[in-house]
Amino acid sequence: MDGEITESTPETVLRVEGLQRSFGKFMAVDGLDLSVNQGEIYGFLGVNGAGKTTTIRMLMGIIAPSGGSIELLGEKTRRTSLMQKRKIGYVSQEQVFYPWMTATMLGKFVGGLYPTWDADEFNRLLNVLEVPAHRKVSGLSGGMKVKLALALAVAPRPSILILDEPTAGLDPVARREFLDIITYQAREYGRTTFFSTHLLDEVERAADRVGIIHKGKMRFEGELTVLQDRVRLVEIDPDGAVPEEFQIWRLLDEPKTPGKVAFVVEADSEAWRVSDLPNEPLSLEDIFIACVGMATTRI
Amino acid sequence: MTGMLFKKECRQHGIWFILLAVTTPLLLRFVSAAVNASGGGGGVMAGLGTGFRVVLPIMIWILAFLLIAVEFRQKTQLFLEGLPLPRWRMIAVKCGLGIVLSIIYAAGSVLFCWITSGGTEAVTMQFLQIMLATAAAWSAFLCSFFIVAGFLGRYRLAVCFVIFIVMISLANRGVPMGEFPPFALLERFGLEREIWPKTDLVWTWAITAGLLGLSFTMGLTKEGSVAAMMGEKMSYREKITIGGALFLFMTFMGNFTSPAPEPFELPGAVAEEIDGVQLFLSPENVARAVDQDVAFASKLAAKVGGIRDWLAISDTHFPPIYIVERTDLEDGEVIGEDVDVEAGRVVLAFANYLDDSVSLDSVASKIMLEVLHVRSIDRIKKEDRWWIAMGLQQWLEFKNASSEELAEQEKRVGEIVSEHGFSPENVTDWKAFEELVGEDEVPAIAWTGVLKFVDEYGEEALQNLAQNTVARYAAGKDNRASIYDFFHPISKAFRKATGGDTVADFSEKWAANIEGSAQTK
Repeated sequence: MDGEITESTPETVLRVEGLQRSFGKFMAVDGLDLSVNQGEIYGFLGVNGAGKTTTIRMLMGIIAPSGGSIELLGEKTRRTSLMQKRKIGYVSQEQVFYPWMTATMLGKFVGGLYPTWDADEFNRLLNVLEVPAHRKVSGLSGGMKVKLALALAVAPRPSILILDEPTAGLDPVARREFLDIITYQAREYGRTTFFSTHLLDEVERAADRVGIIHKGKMRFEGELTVLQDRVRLVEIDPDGAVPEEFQIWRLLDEPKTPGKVAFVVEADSEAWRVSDLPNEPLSLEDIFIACVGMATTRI
Repeated sequence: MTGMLFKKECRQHGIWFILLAVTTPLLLRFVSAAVNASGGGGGVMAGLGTGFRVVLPIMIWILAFLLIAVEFRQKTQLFLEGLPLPRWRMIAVKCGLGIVLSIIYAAGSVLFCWITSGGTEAVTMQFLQIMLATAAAWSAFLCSFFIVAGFLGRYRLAVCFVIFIVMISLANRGVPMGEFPPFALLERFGLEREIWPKTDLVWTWAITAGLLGLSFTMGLTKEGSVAAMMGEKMSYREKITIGGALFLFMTFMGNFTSPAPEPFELPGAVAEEIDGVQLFLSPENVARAVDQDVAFASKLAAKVGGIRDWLAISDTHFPPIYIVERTDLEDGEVIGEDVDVEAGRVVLAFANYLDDSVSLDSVASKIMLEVLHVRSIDRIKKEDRWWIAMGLQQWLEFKNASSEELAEQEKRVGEIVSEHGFSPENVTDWKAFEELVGEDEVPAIAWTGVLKFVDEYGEEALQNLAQNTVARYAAGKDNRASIYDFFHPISKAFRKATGGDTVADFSEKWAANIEGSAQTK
């Protein structure tokens, strides 16, 4: 993993090591490592097709990994078991509830599958999230369905919430509202939350830590502030050189200063502090774009 | 967990389950009554066997569609996948519920028919047990089959259609489908009171188990992604492709589904075969001497053989000709039929062939028209070529006619034209023209067309036209003839025969010729 910041704490809720999944010859997830700590919101960032949903489907036991291991709440397994699944609250990318069911019916149906189901909590959540309890799902808006999915995911009081691009397809207001809800849930109840997205503002707004996945590999994992401290823009003369302890992420096609050569470079904070290499900070968006390696990037 | 899924299915499809439970026995009872009313015999319970063949599959198809296809079409299986619920359990609940409900519907129908039979059936406990066991096995088989079909998603209709056609085709080819399980179960349903169809029951349950195993395989293959992919709606391109494939399949099967025809015999017929023309003459009075018949048969066979050669029809494609004497018919009148026999189709004609006034050319040309009918499976009656066939027959009939006969024919043409007129449009709308003029009169007009054609392009051109239109081999009684017609349109053959003139060009000349003749007279 490029630029990995190893963080291993005793409160690690979810740890994935060398996770792999191929579809024929195509490697959708290729040796992925990640860890999610107790009580944190983890933003799983990647462009479309990076391997986010495949990873989450493996975490949920919906599809089996081709290789690697998953450790959930200290229990290591090749594939997530039914018992482990009961400790996960899951919101999928697309909400495909039975259209004839109401929220209450769904609660009863889903509740029957979780020993830890808290019906009062579910009803409270419906109330708080303003989801009509007795209206058929077919009559709910996209935003309402996502809120309902969240209520269904939270009511069993799971050890971890896994959300697969939950805000995809929502309008900006509904998106903001949903993010506020999961942030509140995490902060108020200390709920560990793992959510995937391709939207940087969501990560900036909600995530404590971020994992950037690209082409099935983890490109960076760590706190956002650390990421921005470590990754910076460097412009040098064409005959100059970047010291070895600095890792070049990307050579930019068009530098800001004419006649210079521009790089996105990663190094630890101490290296930056002692170095006289001219550098400037980058926005998260710039870092993300450099990270996923778009060929004609301009910064 | 199982209970939750069971309740979910009942809640989702409960109304349908009840509706099917009510309508299945009613419909089956109705079919049973209808079978008995139409003389099917065997009683109410035996009539139920027909209902099991015709109605029960439809009801169970609906049931399987609700349980399987609806789930995957709405993609709600994705919701279930996110829950702590093994995929196999979802399939097991659906299969189990489907089988149980199917058995209830079938067994309920047996009991309903018995109760409503009004005491007309002497139902012993063993008889009832045999029927219930048979109904249960048959309905379970149907359900498992349609569950497999349900997992085929958007291809289920096409696959079921293909299977249905193959089975019909096999039955038509003489394969005794009813002797094989599970169909054998229904052969003696409602009739067999003592002997248990043990072998058929075992086989049917084995097939059912196999189909259920296949369902699980399909539902679980590649973590359910195959079933999910199948469950998606068909794209426009896919519809076209599947439609085309089914069309080709039907085209292929169409060539092999003709039922075997019955043998044909003409008792007491005088048989004659000259140069490959088989002729059978059946005298009205079988007791009389047949010398005249034999002589006429020889002459007619030789004449017909001559026309056959002129039309370049090969011996192998020339049907046997059976002529039955009917002295009540007017001179020269020939009534033709074509009959399927074991060796193919034959010409069967009725004529007063020994009457002194009968012209050999007339009978031969009319018989040849019947031969063309038979060979082409009546395709010579298609509008674009019917006038050619008709005119050719008339031309052959009057080719050696006396001047008086020709004068009479021309007079008849003049009368028709003066009454109805004739225009180039009548050629393209020949059927409408035939209706207007009358089918007895219109051949005379067709004759003028062939005369004009010969006058314009020569007799060799007519021969070429006849060989490539009305005399061409039109294959069997299937769609090969349509395919042949598609690639060999009459218009193309016409242009070839005339050296470039189209039917429209010729029609102008023909109409002008008739009009000119009428004005001259």
